[in-house]
Amino acid sequence: MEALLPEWMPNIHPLIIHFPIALWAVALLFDVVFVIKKSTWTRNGAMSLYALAAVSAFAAYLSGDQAIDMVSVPFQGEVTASQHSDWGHYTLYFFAGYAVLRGFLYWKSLDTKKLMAIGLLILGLVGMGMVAKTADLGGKLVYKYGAGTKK
Amino acid sequence: MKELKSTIYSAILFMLMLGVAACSGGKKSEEEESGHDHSEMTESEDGHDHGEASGGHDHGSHGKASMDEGEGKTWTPSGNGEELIRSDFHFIAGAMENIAPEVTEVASDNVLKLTANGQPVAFVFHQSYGNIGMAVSLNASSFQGTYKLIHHASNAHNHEFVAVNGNNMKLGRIVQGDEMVFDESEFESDEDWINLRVSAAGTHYKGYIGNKTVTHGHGDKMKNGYVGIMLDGTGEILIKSIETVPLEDE
Repeated sequence: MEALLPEWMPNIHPLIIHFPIALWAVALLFDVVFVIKKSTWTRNGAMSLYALAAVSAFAAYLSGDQAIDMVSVPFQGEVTASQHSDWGHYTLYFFAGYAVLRGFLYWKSLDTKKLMAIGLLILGLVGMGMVAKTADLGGKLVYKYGAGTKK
Repeated sequence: MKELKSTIYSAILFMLMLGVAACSGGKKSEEEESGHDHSEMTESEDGHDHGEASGGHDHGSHGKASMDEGEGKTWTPSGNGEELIRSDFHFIAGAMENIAPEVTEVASDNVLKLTANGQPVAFVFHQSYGNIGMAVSLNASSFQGTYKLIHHASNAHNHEFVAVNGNNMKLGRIVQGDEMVFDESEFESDEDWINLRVSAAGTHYKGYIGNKTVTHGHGDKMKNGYVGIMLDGTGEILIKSIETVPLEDE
């Protein structure tokens, strides 16, 4: 996989991390539409997107675990690196748990009830907040401390 | 159906709690990173950092006030070896005669030459730290044994360390005399002089040679403690500088 990277890119993590963020955000949009007006395609779409977001979060976790030992982090950035890693773990656990819950509700057709749909949307927003926090710390690590900007 | 409903609501509640726990956990760790626990090591309140007046040079901080504000410093040797060690450090294992310190010159730089006699010895700065980054420029090509950068040290039996023996690096902690190894790895270095670095940020610990991460492990956060150097072996070790950087969330 590393061979496919441009020579200036230190690792694959920056390529992967956008997937859980974007997929989760779009899944939330599907949920909003579903709450306003129920339809099969938004329900199916949201379910698929949440599942894909959880899978891509796992990929982001694996690549991050590898990346942190490949890049040079200045002392001042170590706390941020530590927090980024911790939040990455929390987000992965949340995404995975949510995707399982969501899959179960989908299977039992319980996610179509209005109250349940709103509850799931709120939970989805919590997940969005978590991934945003993780991303914010990751961005700080790169743009403030220069981690991973040199191979 | 009722059981199913209660299971689902429990699952949703659990997810919410997970989210809240993550948020509060993050907040707590941020508070821990920025806070200083001055209660753990009362000796640090005495402020034994004598800086240039006592022989060693501290670049970037001037005594106790600066240290308490969390500024970093780079210590370099000068003057008389024994006086330097006595003024800037204190021993938590062994004694002065186990290292016979001398300040000498190598390539126009002052270096602290320690001649270890085989007795385990550890000397630490007078200030205590929480999250810490430490970098030591040293030459251990004439040393046989293990040298460690220690941090969060209460005494010789309670500290965290990055230990180097030959080309092997070990990262871990000693609690009540029992060693726990977080990570261990080999490294390559053709240079006599190396920049050995350790960082302890929250529950994340790393050992570096230069900018290359060699070991990376995790453990509970320990209470604040001293930072310094521990030797267990024989021969000469040269120290050019010791940089300490309190790590804080910015």
